[in-house]
Amino acid sequence: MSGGEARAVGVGSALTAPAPRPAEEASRLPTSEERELRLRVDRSSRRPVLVAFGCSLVALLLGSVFGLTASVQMHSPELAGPGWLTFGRVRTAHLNAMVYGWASLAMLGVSLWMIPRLVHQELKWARLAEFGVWIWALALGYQLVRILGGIPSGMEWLEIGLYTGDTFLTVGGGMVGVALLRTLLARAVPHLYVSVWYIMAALIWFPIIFITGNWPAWAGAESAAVNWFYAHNALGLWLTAINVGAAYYLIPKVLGRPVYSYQLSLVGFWTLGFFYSLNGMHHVIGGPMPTWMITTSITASVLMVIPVAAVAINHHMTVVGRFAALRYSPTLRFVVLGAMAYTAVSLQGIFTALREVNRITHFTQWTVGHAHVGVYAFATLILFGSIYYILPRVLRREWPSARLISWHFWLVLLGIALYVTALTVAGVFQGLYLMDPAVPFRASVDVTLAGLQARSVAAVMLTAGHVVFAWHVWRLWRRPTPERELAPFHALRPVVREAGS
Amino acid sequence: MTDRDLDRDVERMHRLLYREPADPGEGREPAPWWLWVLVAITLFWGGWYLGRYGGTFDASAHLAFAGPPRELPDERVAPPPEDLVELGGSLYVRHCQTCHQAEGEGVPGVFPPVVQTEWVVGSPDVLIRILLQGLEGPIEVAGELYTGFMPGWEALLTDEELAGVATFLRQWQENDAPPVAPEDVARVRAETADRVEPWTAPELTDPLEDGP
Amino acid sequence: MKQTWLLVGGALVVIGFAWMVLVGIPHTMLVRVEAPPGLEPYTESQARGRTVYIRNGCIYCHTQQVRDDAFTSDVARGWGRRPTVPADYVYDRPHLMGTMRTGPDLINVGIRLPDPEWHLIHFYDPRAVVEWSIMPPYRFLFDEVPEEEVGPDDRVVAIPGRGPDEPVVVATPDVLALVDYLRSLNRSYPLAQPAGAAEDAGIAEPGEPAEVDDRSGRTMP
Repeated sequence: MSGGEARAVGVGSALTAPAPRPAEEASRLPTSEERELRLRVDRSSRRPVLVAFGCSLVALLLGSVFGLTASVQMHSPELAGPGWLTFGRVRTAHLNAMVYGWASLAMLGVSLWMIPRLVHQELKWARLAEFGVWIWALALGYQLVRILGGIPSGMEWLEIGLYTGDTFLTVGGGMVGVALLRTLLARAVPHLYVSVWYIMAALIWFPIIFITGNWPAWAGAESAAVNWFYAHNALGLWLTAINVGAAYYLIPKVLGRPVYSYQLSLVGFWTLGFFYSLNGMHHVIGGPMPTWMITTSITASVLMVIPVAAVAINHHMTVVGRFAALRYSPTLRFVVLGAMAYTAVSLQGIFTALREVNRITHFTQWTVGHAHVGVYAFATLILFGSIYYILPRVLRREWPSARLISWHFWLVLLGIALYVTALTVAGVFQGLYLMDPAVPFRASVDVTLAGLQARSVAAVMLTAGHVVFAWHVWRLWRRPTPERELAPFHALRPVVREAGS
Repeated sequence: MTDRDLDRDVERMHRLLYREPADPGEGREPAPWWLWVLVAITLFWGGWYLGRYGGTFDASAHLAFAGPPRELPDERVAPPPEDLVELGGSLYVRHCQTCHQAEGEGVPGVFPPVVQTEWVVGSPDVLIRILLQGLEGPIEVAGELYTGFMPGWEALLTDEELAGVATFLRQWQENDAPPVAPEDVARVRAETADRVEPWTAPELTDPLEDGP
Repeated sequence: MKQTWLLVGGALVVIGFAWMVLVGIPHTMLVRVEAPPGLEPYTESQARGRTVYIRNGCIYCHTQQVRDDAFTSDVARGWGRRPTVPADYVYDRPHLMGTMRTGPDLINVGIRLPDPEWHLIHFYDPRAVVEWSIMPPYRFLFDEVPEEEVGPDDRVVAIPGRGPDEPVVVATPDVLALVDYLRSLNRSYPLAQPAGAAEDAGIAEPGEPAEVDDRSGRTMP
């Protein structure tokens, strides 16, 4: 470990002694029993969590390269390559690498760490969970190769091959879910914290929607309905649920204060499940779909105001007065921004679901921008924050460099801001031109080009940020670990006392 | 590793855990009153919207949003056909340019040009027939042989619009031929009402042989 | 919440309700939709072309749907003579309705661009026929063969601007099937009633089967 880099970074929070409201139980320092429990729990989930994060980072890097390639090809089509490098396949590989590789695997890692922590119980059947993560990751890797060789299945978000992909993802994810459910049933706390609701519900919801979406029985308009039932819920009941759950844990945890309102947590959770799950048909507004289905989804989309407001108030009131902490804790910085992006993307989604808006923005780059506010500015930023918090705890060492965290943060923040701005503006013009039959189609193509080029710049920044992050994780991983020479932990308490005295 | 190093590591490890507060609890604050107002308003609105635009509870599409009084958005109204050339020009961009190209030059050997050719500036009836039912098979245009397939537009474009396209073509670039009136299109449309398949070049060289 | 069963049970109820509303009930309605008389099932070659369409990700830039003309300009733009309805898609497994119009809608491309030669040139080099296009070239769907090796059954594509010394471009069966598929895309046949009728009538009142019939495109006995 070189001297200059050894500066330890405040990971969870630099605020060892936050100025608490006096009654706040959460802000007190942990007792030795609590510390011991945490060490024990973290050790139990160590391997599956590390496997999940490791694989998710590989997918993140791969997905970034795919995304950058597709982005450049879109405004410079002469750079088309051989079949496996054609835009349609590279774009699809990007989506699948990011959603099922990066986000989903990182989310499995977060769940595997957070649930045992929240129920004060070691991860049960950890081997099963680890094996499940491996199955998911390897099956996905194979599917990415298949996609580049020719997309196996023709529905968006469901491109993975049925028997060689979907089956394994279901089984692998199921193994993780079973291990976590077993852990939940062995819990040592009477009360289930709000993050547990979100994460466990997501683990129940995901296999149901995933199997429904991939079930090979649908045809015609019905397959479109099932397609969007799945794809929207993959965002709403999977990515959103786990990441909102993670934010619910990390924000109050880092700040050392309770989450604002239990009542709001309840309202937010149950209305999210109820309304979000009905949103899917707003992807086919005006399309060849029974009217009542589309209207139901538009209505449910607008009703999403309720859970979004509840969660936003709850998160905001938890942080309020302590925004300065964002400067000291990278975790908090990423997670709070991600939580804000969640509010933003939800409100944008409600707006887009209105028929008068949708007629213009549907089928344009606006939608791509919107999707990236959701999957990137919301989900990915929270996952970055979670990994900044979790990895030092399962590896028991500090991040080596504050500067690398800073680079990572600003590259991805400015990158995604440019990305979303460019595509949103381009999308509005594209939509207005498409909506005016007197304007030739060509104009709707030409008007997006500047936005698409700016998007490629953004893609370079995001990719660079990911490389910095992966490099930092690698450095953390390679740091010498204090663990191997240590005797069992409880024997060491006196040593600490001596060192402190 | 010396004892001293070991101590430092242990210390660091514990700092990590000490720094971490206890697990978050849940506050007992009530939700703000205006959230309940928001809930009430959106639920009420949702019920109204479902009722108003729900359509029928079956597989029918495109039911609900077209209720009377139905005002067409401005942009859906076709450009006023006062000037046939202008109308034809905008239709050319939309329907013809894909093959015959921006300057009407066509693509050598594949899509014939529409400027400087007798097919366009010659008999208006021939041009109208090509526009109405299309053209298939070998055809010699401006000294070059083409073998293609042009679709007909009789079902998609009105007499007015087809007259516009024809007039535009006949007076475009170096072309300089008399205009075509919507009545001419209507007449030819009536004459060829039984014709379904595209024309062939030999049929059109003497249109009189292929009367209705 | 203190009970695990409440959480698990509640989550199942929530998703079960949504499943019934958006998957279960629509299934009972949509399986009964029959193909209109004007719609043919895909031939073997067209079905193969459809697979090529899927394999190369065409859906990410092209839609296959004409939206309701009550509030969009899809019909006015000339992408169809009427909005498409569920019955237009009964042979589509899976649907390819798409979500993006980087390129034009294709559900009626068979009427708009019936010339196979145009498609072949366009796939090989889109900018040879559409100068401003940003569609990628699909040269890997063609073989380049020296002129003397061209077989009698090979479909040679006359690419504009290619010198006489260069090898000739021969279409593979894949791209020929794809062109066949695109030329088959035509949803212009009339439904049980012309699509315009219901617009004039406004919202269909429940209990008017003819109206309902028309908009779903379902053929009733």
